[in-house]
Amino acid sequence: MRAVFTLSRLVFGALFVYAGAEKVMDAQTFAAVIFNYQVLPAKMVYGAAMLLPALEVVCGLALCAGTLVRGAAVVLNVLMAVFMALMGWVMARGLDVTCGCFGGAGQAVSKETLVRDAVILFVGLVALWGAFRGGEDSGRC
Amino acid sequence: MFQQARRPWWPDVVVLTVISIMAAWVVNVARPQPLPWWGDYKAVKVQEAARKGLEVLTPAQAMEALKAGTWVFVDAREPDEFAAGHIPGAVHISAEALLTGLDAAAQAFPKDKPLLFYCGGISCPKSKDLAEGFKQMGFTALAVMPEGMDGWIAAGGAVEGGN
Repeated sequence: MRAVFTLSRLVFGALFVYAGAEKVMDAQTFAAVIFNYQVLPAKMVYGAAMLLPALEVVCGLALCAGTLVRGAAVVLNVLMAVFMALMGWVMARGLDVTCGCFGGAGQAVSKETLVRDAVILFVGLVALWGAFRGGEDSGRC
Repeated sequence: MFQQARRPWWPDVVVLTVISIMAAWVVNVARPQPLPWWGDYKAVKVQEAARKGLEVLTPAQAMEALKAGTWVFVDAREPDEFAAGHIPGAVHISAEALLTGLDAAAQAFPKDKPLLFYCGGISCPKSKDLAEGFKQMGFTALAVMPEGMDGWIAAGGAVEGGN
């Protein structure tokens, strides 16, 4: 079971490092994606476009490195849940927006992106369980 | 479900958040053009167009221009978007013409003909890119409507074509 927790932590962390890094590279496009979701005031769009990817990369690295694991697992799982809720929200409103999940404009928000995120969230919840379960695991990215 | 933690987990969140804010700040300072932390997204986009030396029109001003008939409206969106509805009398030039060669598209207009470019909305760069391409070809009277078709429809502008 310990191997499952370690693996889920490393996979979940690495996914966020990758996704966050892509967004850091192209903050302008990510800002456009956030704006199109129409949930944040226009004044906060750029701040969110810079802070969210940084949070993803830093917490992802923490998970990979095995430090501050519980905090990082909580933050990334909350982010994941928020992203999924937003996707559901824009689908319900019938907005034609791109996901922006892995940087760039990316694919349009759809059931497919929602299912993919649900799988990632599952991995994240396993990692969270492992982080709070205690015990030593020494896996590193 | 979880065992008792040895120490609280929430300080981790605080530490990670502070590190993230600092990292985001450093990365932003290192950008060729740092982004504003607290800046109106729309206003920044409009300023971008103005910085490129293009005249900037709001949808309301564009409506006046359409009535006056002084500007040729150029739709820079995808062909299917144009077909689904556009500003009355607009000409379609796909932004892909920037890659395939603007000459053919530009030949249709005299160099001093005032051209007003628009695309989907405030986020899309196509109208500004295309206008810049025309500028480099020696066109002088160029304008963009940064709020695009979204802003036009929101302002109650007429739509031609489509359903």
